[in-house]
Amino acid sequence: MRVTNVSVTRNYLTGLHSNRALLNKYSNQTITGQRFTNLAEDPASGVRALQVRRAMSRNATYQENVSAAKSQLASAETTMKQAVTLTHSINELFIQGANGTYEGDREAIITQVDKLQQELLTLANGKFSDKYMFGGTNTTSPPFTLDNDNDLCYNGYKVKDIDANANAALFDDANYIDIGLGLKFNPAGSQNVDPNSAYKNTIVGLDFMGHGSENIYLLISDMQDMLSASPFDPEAAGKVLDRFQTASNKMITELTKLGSDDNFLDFNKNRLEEEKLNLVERQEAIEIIEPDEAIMNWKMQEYVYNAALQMGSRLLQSTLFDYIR
Amino acid sequence: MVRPTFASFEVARSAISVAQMGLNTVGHNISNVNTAGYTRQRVDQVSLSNSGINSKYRIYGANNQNAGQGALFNGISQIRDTYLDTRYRNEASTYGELSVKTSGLTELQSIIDEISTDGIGVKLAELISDLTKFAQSADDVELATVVRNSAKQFTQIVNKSANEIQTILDTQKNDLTISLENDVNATLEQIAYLNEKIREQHINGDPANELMDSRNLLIDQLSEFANIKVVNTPEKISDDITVSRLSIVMVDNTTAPASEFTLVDNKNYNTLKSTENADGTVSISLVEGGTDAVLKPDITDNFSKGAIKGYIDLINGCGNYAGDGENSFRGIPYYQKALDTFAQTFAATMNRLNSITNEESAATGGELKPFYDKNLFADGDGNTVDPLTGKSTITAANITISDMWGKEAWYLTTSKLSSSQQEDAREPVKDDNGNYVLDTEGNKTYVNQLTGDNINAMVKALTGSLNFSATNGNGDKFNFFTGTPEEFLTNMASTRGLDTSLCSTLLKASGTVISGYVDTRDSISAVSVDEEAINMMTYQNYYNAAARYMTTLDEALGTIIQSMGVVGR
Repeated sequence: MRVTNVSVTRNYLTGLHSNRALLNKYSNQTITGQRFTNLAEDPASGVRALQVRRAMSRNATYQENVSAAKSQLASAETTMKQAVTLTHSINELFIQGANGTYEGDREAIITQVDKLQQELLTLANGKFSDKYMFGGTNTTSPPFTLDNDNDLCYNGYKVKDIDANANAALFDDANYIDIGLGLKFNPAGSQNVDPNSAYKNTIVGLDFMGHGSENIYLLISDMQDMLSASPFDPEAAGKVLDRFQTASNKMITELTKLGSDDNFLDFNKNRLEEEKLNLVERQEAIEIIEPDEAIMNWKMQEYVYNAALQMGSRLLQSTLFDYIR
Repeated sequence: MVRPTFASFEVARSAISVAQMGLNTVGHNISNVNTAGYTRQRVDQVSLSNSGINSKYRIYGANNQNAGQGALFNGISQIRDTYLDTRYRNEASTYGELSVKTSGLTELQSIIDEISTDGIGVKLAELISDLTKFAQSADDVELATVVRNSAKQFTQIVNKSANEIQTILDTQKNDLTISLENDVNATLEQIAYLNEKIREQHINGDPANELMDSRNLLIDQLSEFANIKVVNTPEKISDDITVSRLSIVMVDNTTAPASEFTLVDNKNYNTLKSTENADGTVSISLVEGGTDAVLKPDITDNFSKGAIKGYIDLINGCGNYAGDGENSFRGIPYYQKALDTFAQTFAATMNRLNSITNEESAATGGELKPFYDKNLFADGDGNTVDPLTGKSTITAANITISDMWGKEAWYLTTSKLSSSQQEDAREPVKDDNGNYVLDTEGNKTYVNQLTGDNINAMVKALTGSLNFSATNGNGDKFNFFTGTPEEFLTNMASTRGLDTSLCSTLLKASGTVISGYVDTRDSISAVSVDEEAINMMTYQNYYNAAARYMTTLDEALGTIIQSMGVVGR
């Protein structure tokens, strides 16, 4: 085929352009460390990269949720421990009172227990950063209050009248947060969160304070009535004391439950942290190019480009006219 | 027959003049090495014989004393292969179409592609994250405000993306108009003018090489824009003179039989005009050149290749949304409509979840109708649905948070416990002193407690699979996409990425093919400087030899005239 000057120049220029474009691409890769800058360059990897990024942002949100729940739980545990200690002190005093023989002693004990009872009420209305902890979903007003008849009320309902079946809503009252367990609704499409798919971060005070006639606050009042009765009936007082001690043990059981909740949150925290490490590794595999690979590519391409430039200077200059005498 | 004495001088003279002509042509070729479209020229010379002289006393055969009469310069001709021209122009129209499409689709990258830039997907993820945090403490007014701000930013970035896409569409329409005016119509006019001039020259016997080169160059440029066919018909001027009449037609092979639209015929030309229709699409019409008379009002569908088709596909193409007779390429309107579908489904889902429903009616098997609408998102006028057609009036360009939500951050429904559940789970209202607020009959008043179950439902909807349904050009509903909103955005971006990558690969391939044609064409028509150098040396030697021959003849004749018959003087 007859080769003309125009076609030689044109083809040389085209080759030089494509070399330059490749050099540009490799230098971009070296500078940014990214394998590709848009989906058109590598659609399949790009889609995977976007999925990994989504999963990572989701993971960060869950971790934040878990850590917020943990701090709240720690505060609740501390308060409840204090309440348990308080009930033990009250128990000591009651035992003294039940065994004591002098009325004067019993008066003194009643006065002391009064104070402790008030403290117990304060603890039951404990707060964590401006929110009441033990009122279920009610976090804006104190859950345990005294109404006009001086009866203990929980969220407006008289505690002594609360029945587990009739007031089931009070016990089911809960708020759930998503910590990455696959939030589901039961039945599907309704507003009821499936308890196994989320973490319940509210505590119903009735669970550890007791309800109906077994409420520990009411039992303290009952015990005080027993002690102040005359004549003093040790057998009846002993029965009430038994019920008080059962209620106190119930409180300890609830405290243990909080402990296992804490373990559950720890477990999830570790799981989420490991998941994040995996995701970071995946992201690097998809999106990031190793510096040594990028630099090698660039160096090679630079060499090719320089060779093309040198050759061009020889190719384009000489014609037959240079050799005619 | 005796040869005339001075006939040989005539032979020498003819040789010298042909050699001069050759040198001139070499000079012309060399000076035009880099001229675009220049076809190399070459001298045509024939040898003159002395046959054709019939004379009574002529001797033929071995005793014939007469040699030839020299060389005759027969004109300068071009060397060009019209078959290669046709092949080149065919491929050029494919190249032109792909070039326009690749650059148009690449422009959308900065708006839709989120690998290197943060766009709608990132804002959506932020909104979901804020909602998840709000679900933990659904009575926190600060978090409610944060959610509202996040939603507002989300709608703003959707608006911005929609506006940017519209800008790109408008730019492409503008480019089409400019391209038709400056590149296509001006070229057609010039070709028609050259046709007239070349015809005149041909009638006068002049091959008009330079004008033909210019015309070929213009036709090559034109071929990038549409699928054209060049037709040369011989036209008889008189008994002796026949010239070639050139016309250019645009061919559409998709109809049967193929339709042809005349663009240039001799000195007459037609122009193309683009007009914007009411629905935003563009149509092309064929107008008589120099006047405003419309020959064909709508030839938009007759463009099968070329840059004009590229523009039409980018401006009119709406992909899956195309109805009958509409353009089904995934052009810019496809992405506009996809973003609209996204905004509509997003708004409808959030509005439905936020509205109060009549749960008891659902429990007894009745339909779950909104008890009353509490819309979070609306179009700019505060509406969501056109009351006449029932269709959503929300688009990506006009979606905003509703006025009610803008005024009150608590417009967000945090809990949707059924009314009977709400009866039981209430708390009494207290005033600042801690006393119960009583109503006129002395009863305590209650407010609903604030759980975050509805917020969790919203998060679940936004991270779960939704049906994005849309209406196509025929008015039929179809399911555009099923998946999470984030997957929708990724799907849109990857569709554009795949289309772009395909177009640019085809463009590279087409470029290589065209390069091959151009090389082959050049190998026939272009000037090679080395070859001209050799020609130059040849013609120079030729000239020297002819001059030497003339000197020899001169000496020979001089001998006869001066030296013969001087003996005995």
